Amino acid sequence: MPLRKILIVDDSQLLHKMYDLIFVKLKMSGTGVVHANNGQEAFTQLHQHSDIDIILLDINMPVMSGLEFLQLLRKNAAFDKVKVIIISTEGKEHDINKGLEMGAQAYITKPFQPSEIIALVLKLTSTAPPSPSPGGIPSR
Amino acid sequence: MENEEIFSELLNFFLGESQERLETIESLALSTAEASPERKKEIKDEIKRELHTLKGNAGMMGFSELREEIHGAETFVLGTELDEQGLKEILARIESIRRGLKKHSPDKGEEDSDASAGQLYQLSSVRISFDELERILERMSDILVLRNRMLETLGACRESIGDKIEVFETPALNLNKALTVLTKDILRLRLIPLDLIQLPLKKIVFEESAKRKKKARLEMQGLGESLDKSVFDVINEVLGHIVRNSIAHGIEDPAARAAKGKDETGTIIVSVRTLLEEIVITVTDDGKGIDEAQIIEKAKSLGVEVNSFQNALDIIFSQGYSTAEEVDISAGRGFGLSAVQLAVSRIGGRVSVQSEKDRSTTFMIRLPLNLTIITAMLFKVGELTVAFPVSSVVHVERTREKALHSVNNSYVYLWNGQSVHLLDLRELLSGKGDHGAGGFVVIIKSEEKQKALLLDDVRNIEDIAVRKNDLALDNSPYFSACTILSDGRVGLIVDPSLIIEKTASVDPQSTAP
Repeated sequence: MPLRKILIVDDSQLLHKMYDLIFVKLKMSGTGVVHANNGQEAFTQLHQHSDIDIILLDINMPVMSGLEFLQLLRKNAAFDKVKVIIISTEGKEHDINKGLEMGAQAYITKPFQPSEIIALVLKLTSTAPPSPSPGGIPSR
Repeated sequence: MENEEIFSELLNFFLGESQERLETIESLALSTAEASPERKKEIKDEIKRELHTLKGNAGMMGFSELREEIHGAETFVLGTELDEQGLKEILARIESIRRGLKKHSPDKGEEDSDASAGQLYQLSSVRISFDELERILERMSDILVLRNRMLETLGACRESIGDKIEVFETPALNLNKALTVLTKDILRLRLIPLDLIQLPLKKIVFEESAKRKKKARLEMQGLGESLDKSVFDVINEVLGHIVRNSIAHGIEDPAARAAKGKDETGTIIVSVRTLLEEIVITVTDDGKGIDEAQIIEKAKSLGVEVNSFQNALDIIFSQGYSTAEEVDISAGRGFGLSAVQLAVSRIGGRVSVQSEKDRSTTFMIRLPLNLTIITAMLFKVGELTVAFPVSSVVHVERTREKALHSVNNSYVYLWNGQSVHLLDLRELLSGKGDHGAGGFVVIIKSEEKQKALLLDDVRNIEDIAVRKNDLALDNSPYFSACTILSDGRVGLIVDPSLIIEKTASVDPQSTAP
């Protein structure tokens, strides 16, 4: 699976800035990074950029929560191939389980190290077969 | 990017953004005092949202202790009524979170040394220190002097070089333009928006009123200004103290005020006005005023030399009197009104007080501006260019001969239904004027007074930088400074208040019954 563009959905400016810094190397090798502050903006971005391969989705957002967004996303077959990583906070196993059921491919809990999220993104979108990794991708 | 690099880049962003967020929360909290119950609920929700985001960010940065503290604040806001007690608690928690943030700040060493008693606003670190900026300005001054010499030499060579002078003129003028722009840019770097003072002052009003069991509200005027750092620093230091003083000694308690027929809530107005050469700050409260007799009594009992004061009210600024009285205000810090006077006079300013018994007390601080950038409208008077601050220009028009009248030994100009005293600037400046024949009339104003000035032509509007100490014009009664304009010419800057004041004696309007 290619990694042409990453969509970040999060209501915190700090997080957006962080992801920009984290993905600097990826950006230099041609991967695009687009941002959305809420679910609605996320859909706008998805329609504008047809090459989004993976979404980093913050669970905890006002107005439309991450899970609500995910539900709407999976209703639309056009986005079936887009991978989703749920970004959650510690102690919210319920959210994580629900998210995985609703069609997310992986999860990560805050706070996390930059290297962890990079590894997760690459694993999900690489052509290499998935290998067991510490709490990121559930083996089906 | 490595993990640590990302972290430290994010840290500055996090700290700056969090500081802003904390200030937003404080502003919101303080605004509940005069809010309706519906608005209070809205404010509560807004504060909760801000705290929630702040918490998430702190967590993301790995600051778990801070995150816990913010979580505690969030929980508290959920359950509070947003009454005075609740408000106090919120502000206290915000302050505590702020201290928690400071612990993670990379330059916390510098911050501590900045925190002196009385500082209202903690300036965040700047990339270039103001000392360095000052040195750059001095270098700039030197360059400007060299530029002036060059222009003078150029002028002197005109005769001997003849037409060939053109070869030098264009590069010289371009250089001049570039230097002028650069000077203005540097001067602008020193400007700090006065608005920054508002929130800290509001907090002081809140704290002191609660402490003294009085009710007071703060109104600020003239906050649109930005001040040079040297002036801002002084204001930063002294305003808080004067406001505390107003609440402690000026504003009466609610019962006493009601008995006098006043609103139970006292009003303190802080007003800032920038005049051409100075800035005037007044703090007026509608309290009980200063009882001169009482001051003198107390001064005598404290052993203060009462007779050396021309104005009895000035006693409150004296060393012996103020430190004794102010100990209780500043909880032992001993930062009295005498320190206010010291701070102000250190930069060549003056502080004074006036009062009306039972009605009001007004503190006035005058600070000289030794550098300003003014937006000026330029006019031609013969060979000279004259500049007026745009705020003083009321009207400009071609001279209407029919509006010119001679009254006694003076002239007036009929404009807008008024007879305005007319001065021929051409005569004033070069001795050659005839009060008529062509040109333009400019109506200028200062305070409520107006004057009509006759001159030759209108030029343009420009921002000019004025540094008083190298541009003094001692023998001119009307002009406050001169400057080099963008075309390399010398411009004379008019101080409207001076010109109006100094020609008042020959103003037919003022002598009319």
